[in-house]
Amino acid sequence: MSRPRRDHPDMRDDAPGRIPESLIDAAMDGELDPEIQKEIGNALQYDPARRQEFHDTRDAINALRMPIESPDLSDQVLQRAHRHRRFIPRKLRQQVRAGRVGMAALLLVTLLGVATLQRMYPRLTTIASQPTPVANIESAIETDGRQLAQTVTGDIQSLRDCMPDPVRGMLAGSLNRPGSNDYNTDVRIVTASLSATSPHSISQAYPHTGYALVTLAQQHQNDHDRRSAQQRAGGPSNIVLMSWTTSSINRNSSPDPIDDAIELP
Amino acid sequence: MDRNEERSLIERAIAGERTAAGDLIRAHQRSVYAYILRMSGRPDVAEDIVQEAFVRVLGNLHRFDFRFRFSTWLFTIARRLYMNAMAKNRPAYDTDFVGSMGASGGPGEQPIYSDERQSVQHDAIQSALMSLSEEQREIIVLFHQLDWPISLIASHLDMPEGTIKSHLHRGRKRLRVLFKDQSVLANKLEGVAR
Repeated sequence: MSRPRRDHPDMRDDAPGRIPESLIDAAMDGELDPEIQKEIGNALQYDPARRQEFHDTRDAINALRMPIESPDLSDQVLQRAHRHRRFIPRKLRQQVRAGRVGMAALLLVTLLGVATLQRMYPRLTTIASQPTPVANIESAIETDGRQLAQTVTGDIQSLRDCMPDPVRGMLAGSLNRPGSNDYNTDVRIVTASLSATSPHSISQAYPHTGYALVTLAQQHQNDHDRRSAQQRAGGPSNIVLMSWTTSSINRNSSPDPIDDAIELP
Repeated sequence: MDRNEERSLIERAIAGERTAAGDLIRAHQRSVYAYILRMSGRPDVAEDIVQEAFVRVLGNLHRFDFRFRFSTWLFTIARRLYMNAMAKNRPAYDTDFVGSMGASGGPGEQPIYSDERQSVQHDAIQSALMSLSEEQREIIVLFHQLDWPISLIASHLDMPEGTIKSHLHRGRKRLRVLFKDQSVLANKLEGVAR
């Protein structure tokens, strides 16, 4: 039996006596009242093509609704659920949850405590190495100053010994007594450190070295901080001004050096 | 199973009662298995997905909101798993397996279809379904096989009801033609075999 062609005039939806397909769809969707559905059923008697379509559709739906037996998966599912620990009793789950929340809270409190301690007592919680505290700063400074003064005395003495007379005279007026000797330039050399190697050779090779040192010290007369610099005055290995500290002199009071007075020859 | 009974089962399963969890699985496994089997055409895929869906449901049962239907939640999870499985590796439609179910009995050596004719029809409808688009297939299965209302399907698939109806009408029309062709072919093959 050949199937009627869709483009045949009798098969078109607007052909006289045909039931609109949308009405059949609405009936199959269950959107029509039972009475209207019954009327459509009666009308199908007079529309064989539409009736055939309706029966074919009903057959397909009936085939679709044939029961499908499924395997019983409950045991496998429960085994898997237990194996994955996803299916656990409510009480146990609550305990696990409470434990997790407790641990998180403990961690948070610990972090907050450490942060507070660090703010209040930074030394307690700093892991990096700290400078060793000096128990008695005053005595440490005094000792350092004394050692430095002795070094300066020795170095200047050596320097003076090896310098020619004109330069030696200049040094005598300005750098022979650190701490109390420099009213002329409004600067007091509080500490000074000179280093000289082979001083006897300086006098021959660099006769003006001592003068250069004095000039250098005067240029820094407003500097209150201890400076650490290496000024090579006479060549790579001859004489070095290691460091010095100066301060302005208060003319209304007598100088009060922190170093002991150094008796220079 | 009415909703009160279902709620009671769920609550007992949440409390850790294994038998209640088993009953809950048995009450819903058939429909969700049929749904995935119709969608995939592969019993092995359907079985894996249904198992995984139930495992996930049981693991999250305490989060279930009793205002909604349990089956909707289960189907949503199963559908998502199916979509993920399709995205990773689309399994081929296993016609041999489906065809052999009527003769050999399928999983567990239990006969699934009572007679030869049902087996042929099942094969024909599954072949016809697999020729539809994914949306049409899913909507037809949910509406005609599982009796879900249009509004629920729309919510499940996150589509407007009008779109659902459009897919349903077009899919049904196409299914009718495909099923008829498949049935005719199957009957001819059966005649030749005899």
